[in-house]
Formats: sequence, C-alpha cells, structure tokens
Amino acid sequence: MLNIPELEKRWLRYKIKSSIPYAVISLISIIVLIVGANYLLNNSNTIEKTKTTVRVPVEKKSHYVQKETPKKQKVQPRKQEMQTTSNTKTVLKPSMNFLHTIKNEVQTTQVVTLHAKPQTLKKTASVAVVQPKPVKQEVAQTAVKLEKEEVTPNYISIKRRDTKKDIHEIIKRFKKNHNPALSLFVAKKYYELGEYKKAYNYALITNQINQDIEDSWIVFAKSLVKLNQKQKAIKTLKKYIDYSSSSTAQILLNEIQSGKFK
Amino acid sequence: MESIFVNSKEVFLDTVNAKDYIQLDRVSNIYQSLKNSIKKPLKLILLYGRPGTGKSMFLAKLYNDLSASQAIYLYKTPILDEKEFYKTLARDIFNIKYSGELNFTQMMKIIDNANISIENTKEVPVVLLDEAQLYSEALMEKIRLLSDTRAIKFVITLHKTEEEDLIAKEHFQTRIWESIELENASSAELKIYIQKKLMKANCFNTASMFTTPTVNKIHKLTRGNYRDTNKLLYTLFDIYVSYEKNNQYMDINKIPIKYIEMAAIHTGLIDA
Repeated sequence: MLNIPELEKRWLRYKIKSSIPYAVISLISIIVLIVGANYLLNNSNTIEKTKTTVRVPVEKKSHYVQKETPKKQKVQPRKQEMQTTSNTKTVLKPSMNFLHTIKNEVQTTQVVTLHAKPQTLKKTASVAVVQPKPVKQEVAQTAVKLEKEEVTPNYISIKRRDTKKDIHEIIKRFKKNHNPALSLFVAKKYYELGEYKKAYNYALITNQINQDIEDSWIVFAKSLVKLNQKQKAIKTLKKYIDYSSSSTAQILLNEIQSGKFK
Repeated sequence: MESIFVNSKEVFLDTVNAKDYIQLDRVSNIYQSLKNSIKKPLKLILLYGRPGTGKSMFLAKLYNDLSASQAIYLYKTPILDEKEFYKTLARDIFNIKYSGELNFTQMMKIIDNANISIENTKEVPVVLLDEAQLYSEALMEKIRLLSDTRAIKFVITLHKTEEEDLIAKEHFQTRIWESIELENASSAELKIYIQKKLMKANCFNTASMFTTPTVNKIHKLTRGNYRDTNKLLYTLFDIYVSYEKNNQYMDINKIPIKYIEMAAIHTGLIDA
C-alpha cells in the first residue's frame, strides 16, 4: 500500500523545484522588458525634445541665409542638441518670432543672428588656405581647437549689405523658372530700395503670371503712386477690388485717396 | 465486485509470461524474422537490446510457440558453473544423466554420439539462453565451439549498454549469422501496447483513459521502455486504488499528470 500523503508531499516539492527555472526565466524576462520599455520611452522623449528645440532656430532663419551660409547652419542644431542633452528640463514655448519676421522682412534679411563666433569662422577659412603648408600637425590641431570653439554659446551678428547682389541672384533664378513668388520678391525688394520703376515692372510681371496674388497688386499700386501716377494706381486698385474684394487693397485705396499714402 | 483499478494494476505486474505478449507491428516483424532465423541452418542467433526492451519476453514467446513442434530449451537464469552447464544440456537435450563431473571434451563426445542430422533443422535442438552477458568469457567461448558442431543451435540474449554493445559485437561477429536488436517503443507503439494490454484483461474503461497526451507524458518519463512503463503504470493504478479507498473523487476520463508524476517519483523515474 502506498503512502499517498508522503507521495503527495514529494510531488509538491518536485513541482516547486521544477518550476523554479521557469519562474526565474519569467522574472528575468519581465525585468528585461520593463527596463527595455523604460529605456525606449526615455529615449523617444529625448528625441522628441531634441527635434522640437531644433525646429525653433530653423524657423528664425530666412531663406537667404540657408543658401549663403550652410556651414554656419550645420553648427546650429549640434549646439542645440548639446543644450538639450545637458539640460533635460528645457521648457518648450511656441516661437512667435515669425511675426516680427513678417513685419520687418527687410531688417531680418539684412541682419541675421547666428549662434557662432565670427572669429572662429574666419579662422577656419584661413586654415583651409594654410593646408598645403608643411606644418600639417599644427594646422590639424588648430582646426580641432577651432571646431571645438564653434560650439561655444556666443552670439554673432552677420550684417548683410549686398541686397542688390542678392536681388540679381533671385532675378537669375526667376528667369530660369518664372516663379511668380520670385518676381514678387524682387518687386518688393526694389520697392524697399526705392527703385519704384523696377518694382512696378516686376509687380506687373507677377500679375501677368498670376493675377490672384494680392501682394503683387499692392506693390504695383504703391509703385505707381511713388511714380506720381496716383490716378492710375486708384483705377488699378478699384478694378482689383471689384475682382477680388480684397480688404487690404481697399485699405490702401482709401489711404491713397485720402492722401495718407504718398 | 473488484475495482477496475485493482484489475488494471495486476495487468502491469512485471512478469515474463508468453501469454502477456503484446503484438505490435514492429515487434511482430522482428519476432517473425527471429522465427525464420531458427528455421535456417544458423549456429548462433544474438538477440540484444537495452534492459526492459522485451528480450526475455521474446524468448518466452518463442519457446511457447515452438515447443510443440521443435526440441527447444529455455534457460531463463544463467548456469554459471561450466560443468553444471554441460550436465544440464546433456540431461535436457540428450537425456544423459551424469552423476560425476562433465567437461567440455565429454560434452563434445556426447554430441558426436547423438548423431543429429544437421540438415533437418527441426531435429536440431534450440537452446535459448537469457541474460548471456552473465556467462564468463571462457564459457561463452565454449558455447561458440558447441554451436560450431551445428548439432545445437543457440539463441542468446544480451543486455546492450554502451560497453556491452562492443563486447557483444567483438565476441560474436565471426560466428553470428543473425543478430536482432530490440529497441524501446515509440510513443504511438507505447499507446497501443498499454491499451492492448488492458483490453486483453477486459479493462476497457481504464484503457480509454490513456489518451495521446497522457501516453506522451508516460513515454517522456520511461523513454518507451516496457519494463519501466509496466512499473510506472502498476504504481499509477496503485495510486488510484489508494484514492478510491479514501473515497476521493476521481475523473475516470482522464489521468491527471499529477498522478503520473507521483507514480514516477515512487518508481524512481523522477528524482524528487
């Protein structure tokens, strides 16, 4: 006759013993999963932060600067990344700077603020010239140093005084692709520079390509007023208002008629 | 009325009885080839396999089947003394009783005088020696020489372990015409074996309890070894009997894994 209670005890002990490896494996798997998930979550958060912080200075920059100074722009996100990784408590706020950009387009295109040292930029340029000289090691060392210095959080101002040169560049591009946005841009720039005849011409060209661009009609009318053709400007604006019911055009018309805009 | 579990338990008592022989396809084929080998003019037939693979049962079955038509002698336990071995053979096969000692030379003379027609295979006596691994090397050598006379046919069984396998091959390679290896049952074979065994004893209810997953579990524990399976199932039904006596509820449609494991712990198949 079997001793069943004793046998049951032995069986229970065996079950516990045999389930230990499974329990350990399960526990380790759960821990690994939790740690992995936690790591991934943290990682994705930091990436999110980095992405958003990088976006702010990009918005600040004008179209011009992107083309002219690509090296400087590359420096910018790196610096921003470093800032976000070192300071994880960065509070993100929506940037309203673009409003100023719209209002003061002329100023922003002439003076652009970048996060880099002007001195260091000059030095890197000189290093590139020095390269063929026999003292290669020294040059390499200074290059490394200079690159490191680029990351320092000082601000520099690059003043742009070559607007006319830029306009020519845009005109070249316009001639290639006949993009009304470019001709409008040129018209605005010439208007700002006081070259009203050229502004008038480019506004006219823009209107011929696309007659629905409000800004172009505004520049066109303003240029006419500046060229002492007030009546023609009023007539043109009236026709445009009839066609588009533009409130901006109406305001300008009122100002011209009242003599506020001369 | 006796419990179905008590009857089922008795089925798995570890005894070597030709009546308990279970016909399985593969085993039947092997058995048939063994029977055919005996009809051939072969001197030695080696039957080998791991303990519990049914070698003794094979010999018992062979003896049972052929004893009516052939001179056949089964020695389940080895006769380790050489002289005693000759005396037993002389007495059983040639009906010569020796009061004194009988040596190998005298035995050879007896065989010569017996004038057995070796062409007539039915006239050649068949000696079945179980557990032959227990015979000394010297005696095995004599058995080989006796078989060379072709006046006696030997069927010997050997345990096959890692070492014994080598011995078996080295000893008999030159003289053996037929060697048959018995193996453990596969899971499917084990299921048939268990169910047939139970049904043979009219234990239909318990036979239906052995579903494929249950048999797989048993096979995992016993690796298909018949002896281990018999031991395990004997204990398993013993557990059932114990629970039955305690009026504990039991599901007769399915065998709980717990009971199988308990039986395995008791029989030593699980080290707990």
